[in-house]
Amino acid sequence: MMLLDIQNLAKSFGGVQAVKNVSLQVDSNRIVTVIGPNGAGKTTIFNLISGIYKADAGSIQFCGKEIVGLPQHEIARMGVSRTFQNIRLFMGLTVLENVMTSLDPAGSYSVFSAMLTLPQKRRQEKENRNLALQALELVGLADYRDEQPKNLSYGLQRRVELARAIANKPKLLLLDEPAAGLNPREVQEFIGMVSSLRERFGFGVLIIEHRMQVVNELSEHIYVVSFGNLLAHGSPYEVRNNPDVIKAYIGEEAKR
Amino acid sequence: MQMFNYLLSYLINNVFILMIGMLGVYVLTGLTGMFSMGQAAFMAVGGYTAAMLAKFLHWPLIATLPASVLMGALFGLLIGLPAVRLRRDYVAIVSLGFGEALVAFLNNSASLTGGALGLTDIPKYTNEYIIIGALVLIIAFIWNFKKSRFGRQCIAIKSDELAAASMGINVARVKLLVFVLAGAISALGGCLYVHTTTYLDSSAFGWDQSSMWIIMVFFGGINSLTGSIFAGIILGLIPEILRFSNELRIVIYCLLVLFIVNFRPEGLFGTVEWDMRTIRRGIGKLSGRIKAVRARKDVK
Repeated sequence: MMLLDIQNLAKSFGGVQAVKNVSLQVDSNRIVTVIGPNGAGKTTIFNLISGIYKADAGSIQFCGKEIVGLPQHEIARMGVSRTFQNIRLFMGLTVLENVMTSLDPAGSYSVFSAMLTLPQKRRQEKENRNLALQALELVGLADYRDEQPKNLSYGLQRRVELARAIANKPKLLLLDEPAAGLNPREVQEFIGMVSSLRERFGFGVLIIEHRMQVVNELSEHIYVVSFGNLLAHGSPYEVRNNPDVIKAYIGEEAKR
Repeated sequence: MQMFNYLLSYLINNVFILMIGMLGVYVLTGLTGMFSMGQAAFMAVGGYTAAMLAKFLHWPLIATLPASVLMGALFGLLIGLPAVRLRRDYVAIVSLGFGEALVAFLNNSASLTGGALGLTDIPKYTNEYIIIGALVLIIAFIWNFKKSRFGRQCIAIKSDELAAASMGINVARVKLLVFVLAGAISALGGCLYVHTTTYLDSSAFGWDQSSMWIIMVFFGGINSLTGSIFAGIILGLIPEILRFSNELRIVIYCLLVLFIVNFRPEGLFGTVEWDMRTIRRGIGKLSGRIKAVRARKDVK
């Protein structure tokens, strides 16, 4: 059974058909990339998977269950984590608390326990704090745990977002242009981080990316989207040599 | 000395009680980012519940207090149910409408509530110790709430609802919980209010009181509980201190608020809490600086 199985997905906004007919699959322990020109509908696909939009047609099955129409938070709790194209960290919470928010919804202590700080709360807070710290260590940010996220550089903020997305041990990780705004060294670090995290947790990863370096080094399977349609898919080698793809998107880059 | 005693009694009997109402606004607006323009109506709910039970049925404080808290929570649930699905600017309108409607209802059902004349001869159950005790307890509860999974989810929702939902946070549910909690807190303030002043009329719970609370929360620092408490005390006392000049006190009050909003849009303390950690860090910095100055002098 595929971890994520999307069939004939469609979504339009008014008269604009953002996604026309897209089918794609992601398996556990695989890194899959979606590429395509600006406005091709890549982020819309992500928003459909994570439940921000509801699909007009088609199906999205996660672990064999249909998730179209489920509210965002339920999809997240099934094990779909994501990061955003424009970083969306929670201001007013420290870095560690930001990571802890992904563990909090599954917490079990009650409001009364919270207000009275009963032992159950103490125990769970300690546990979650440790789990969040582990996630921060994996992205190399444990030293920044008490900082406010706005005081961190752009590259570090991206890593906080990654830590927050992996802290609750997701089955599927969605990364929306994770390398945007990073300098070449940070991109290299990010690539290493994602592949080592994948090895450690064995989750499926779906990435939207423009940087060919990221696409080529990370992905095992590539889907090319253009104007809401699936143009081609296959291994990086196959896609690079597909004439349609060269025409629509990669162009000069592939001939080099 | 007389002035001091007077101010102290004013602080406890007026400022502290209204501050309990404000803490409801802190939970809703400061922590979760929903503007409640009708929070004072929840204080009225608690106040009228306690007043009528004590006056007509002669219930003691130990019974009127939980009854008014329960009523506040119930009304919070009632307003919360439609409000949580709305965008936050509409929440302000819904709560404003609720508040004004409730005050109008209380004014017009004169047979039960005394209408615009209000209720008098409500049993006086409270003293300074009860008020201070209740305030400290509520502050402790809210502090613990903030430092828990619920508090973090609230702040996450305030900061970015979409990202919060994608973390698995059930936004509508957390908001509803906060509405109920804020309603209960403000209603408790209302209960203490009537048992302290022994009279009650609905005009005290209009939107002007609600907006005053929002000003306090913003003044103190939008995320900071200690900031809100500080602002509640300062802004509650200023009008009384400046009593000698009625015109001046409004001018000074407005100037203070304007300065804060312009020069510190995050509020006086921003997100900083004045807990032991901050204070210790502050003392550490200060002693470090003193040592540095001394060392420089020694070199000279």
